[in-house]
Amino acid sequence: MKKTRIFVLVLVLTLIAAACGGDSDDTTTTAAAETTTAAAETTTTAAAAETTTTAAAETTTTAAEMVELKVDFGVDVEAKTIKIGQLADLTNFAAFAALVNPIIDGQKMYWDYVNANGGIGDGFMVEMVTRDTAYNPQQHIAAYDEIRDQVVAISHGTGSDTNLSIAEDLAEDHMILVPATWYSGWTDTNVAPGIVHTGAPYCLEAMSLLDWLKDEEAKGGNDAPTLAVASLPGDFGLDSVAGALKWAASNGIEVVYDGKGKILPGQDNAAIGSAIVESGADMVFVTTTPPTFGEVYGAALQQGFEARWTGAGPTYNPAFIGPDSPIAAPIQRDWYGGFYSKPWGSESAGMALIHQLYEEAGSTEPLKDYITLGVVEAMIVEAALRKAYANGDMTREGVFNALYSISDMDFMGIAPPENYTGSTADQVQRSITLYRPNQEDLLAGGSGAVIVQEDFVGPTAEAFEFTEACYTIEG
Amino acid sequence: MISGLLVFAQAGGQEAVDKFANATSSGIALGAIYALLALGLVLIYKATQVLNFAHGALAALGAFFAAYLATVINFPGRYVTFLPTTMQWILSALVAVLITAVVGLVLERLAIRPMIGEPLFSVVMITIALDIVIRTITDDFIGSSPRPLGDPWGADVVNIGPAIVAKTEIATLLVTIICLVGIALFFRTRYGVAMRATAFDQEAAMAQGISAGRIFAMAWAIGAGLAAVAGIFSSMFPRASIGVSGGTAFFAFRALPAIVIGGLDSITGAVVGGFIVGLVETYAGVYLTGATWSFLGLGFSGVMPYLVMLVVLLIRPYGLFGTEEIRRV
Repeated sequence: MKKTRIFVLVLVLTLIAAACGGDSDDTTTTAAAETTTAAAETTTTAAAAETTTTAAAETTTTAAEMVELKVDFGVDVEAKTIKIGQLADLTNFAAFAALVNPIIDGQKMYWDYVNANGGIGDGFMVEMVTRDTAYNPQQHIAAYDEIRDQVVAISHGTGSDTNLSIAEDLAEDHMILVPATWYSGWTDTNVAPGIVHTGAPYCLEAMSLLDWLKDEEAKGGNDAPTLAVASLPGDFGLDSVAGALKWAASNGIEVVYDGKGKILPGQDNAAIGSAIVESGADMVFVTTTPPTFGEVYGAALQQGFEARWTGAGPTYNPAFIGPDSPIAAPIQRDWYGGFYSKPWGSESAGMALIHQLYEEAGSTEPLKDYITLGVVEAMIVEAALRKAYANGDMTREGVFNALYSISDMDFMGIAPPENYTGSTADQVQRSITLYRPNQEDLLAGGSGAVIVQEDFVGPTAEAFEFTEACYTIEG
Repeated sequence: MISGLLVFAQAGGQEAVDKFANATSSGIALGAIYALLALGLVLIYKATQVLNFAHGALAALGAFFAAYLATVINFPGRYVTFLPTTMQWILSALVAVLITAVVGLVLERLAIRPMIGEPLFSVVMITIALDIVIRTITDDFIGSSPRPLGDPWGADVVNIGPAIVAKTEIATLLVTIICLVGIALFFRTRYGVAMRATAFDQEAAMAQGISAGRIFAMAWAIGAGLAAVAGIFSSMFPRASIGVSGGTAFFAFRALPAIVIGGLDSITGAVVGGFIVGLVETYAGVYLTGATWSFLGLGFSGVMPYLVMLVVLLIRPYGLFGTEEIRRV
């Protein structure tokens, strides 16, 4: 009996250690707090005032420049910290954890860089408050409830359905959240205020990708290619496939297999691959998670099926072309990819900075394009914070209003500029980067994505009148 | 059953025959993996009366070991370079299975043995805790992206009649047969007889001088080894085209209907149940799709094994090969 008790105690301790042992799981991270010249030249007097209004900054240059700073949640004028939340799938590797971990790494690198260069305003250091949501709506809701009063903004939220599950709370709290999803509803100003769009939405991405594939088919002499589509259920898959089906309708393309919403993680998805083979499609559009894509593609490949495959960005994982991957050769032949930000191999001031931060951090993360996405997400929140500080209002509502007054957000060339003002049609982003997978590039230290064309907008995507979300949630 | 369906398929022409042949070969390969998983689960259940919920985690751990040994440190291949690469990979896989078996042994000694005499429910809860711990550690080992196993068959396929079969599927089937024969032979050895005796009547076996603890340890070691074999083959093309990932651990739960259909305490039942579930799931996926069957909703192929299980339980409440329990009332 005594042995049993000791064992149970040891087991409980082991469980606690296992739960707490992750690198980034459920942690509050303080990004590097070393400030350089910009911050050093600023003498700050945190003159505590009434509950929400504080004199936060008094510069040595001009006392008249002192800013009356309104704050509420997540901004500590005495400690000079700004807390930013992340609701991230860090552990569900059957979903998107493989892609989200490098996104969070990218954010950490960038916030470290921001802090090392003086932080926000007169030396506010940004701290990350990361919670693992495992791509589960219940955990997402619980995590948001836990951190909503600790943070001023959320710089990452994994998943469309998961973010939609907290959309009403976000709107009520005037909280901005940068989603790592490209659901077209984020651009629709009526759907989820506060959930910030970035990059081309799934449905327009689908149109541009299929415009590209159709051109490739035409180059090969096939002027009437057929299309097969398949996806996960939920907003991610259905929004993307909605774009593909709208594209097919507007181009007069026959859809020979419609597997919209039929891919289900945790089940045998080989039958979808077989159905695609049976359809004999020339082009296949699949939007799903990388592991389930592997199942569908593997089943089709097994039966000797060859076609041009494409799908929403997160469907593809560079691990497909890793050195020991059994599908490395065929996927290089078959996959035509698109991405929302610029790949690792692109040239811009922003990309040079990311390369530098990556090296300085000593990172070995292979999914480099997702590090870039993390930086893009952080840049959006950074811009909102800087503008809110300049406005003297760093309440959540102040940050919210600051973001939605920016019409020319610049990403130093690592992503197309964004507009957060005006109507849905004014705000929509149509541009994507086209790439082909390349193992040589991956083995040489690149991201494995060789750029075919930057800032690409297909003719169908260009002509599409985007005034509302391509797919709306039922019920 | 399969031949009956083949006749039915032949009526639809060559295309229907090809479709049926591909579905059957795929179902058999899937069934072989389920059979391996079910075999390990049943072995542990027979010896200890405990359903091991950490089985999937052990499968993922075994697959990770194989990937690591074969693709990262090339062990023991680096010491036997004179052997063909296929042989080197098989040795890596064998070492991975062995290491996982040792992990099973250690788990039994540390986590299960101290619980002897405690309510079975508590022991089952311990296996759930072990599942969480092993999965967490394995996920950390695997890292952010799936790890390919570097197996020698890759995405190669061969034509067997009208069916296009992946070489990995042939390997899966062969290894399953080897494991089955191995288990059958093991039960004829002294330790195998002791295990059967312990499973039949633990107290009587102990009275005959059989160490129940040693038998439990052996069952866990063999069960974990079989889980590793299943984990390795479920992480290969075409089922998991990019290797072992965090999702591998959950694959084992799909084998649960197999052990219920076959009978919780039957080795033969585990194997038959595994193949039934594999075939039913695959046929349902291939044939119960499209507009005609849309009223069944999404994911019906995953439901079918449970429907079969329900029907079997209605007819034979202890499974196809399970031991009927007689109680005085």
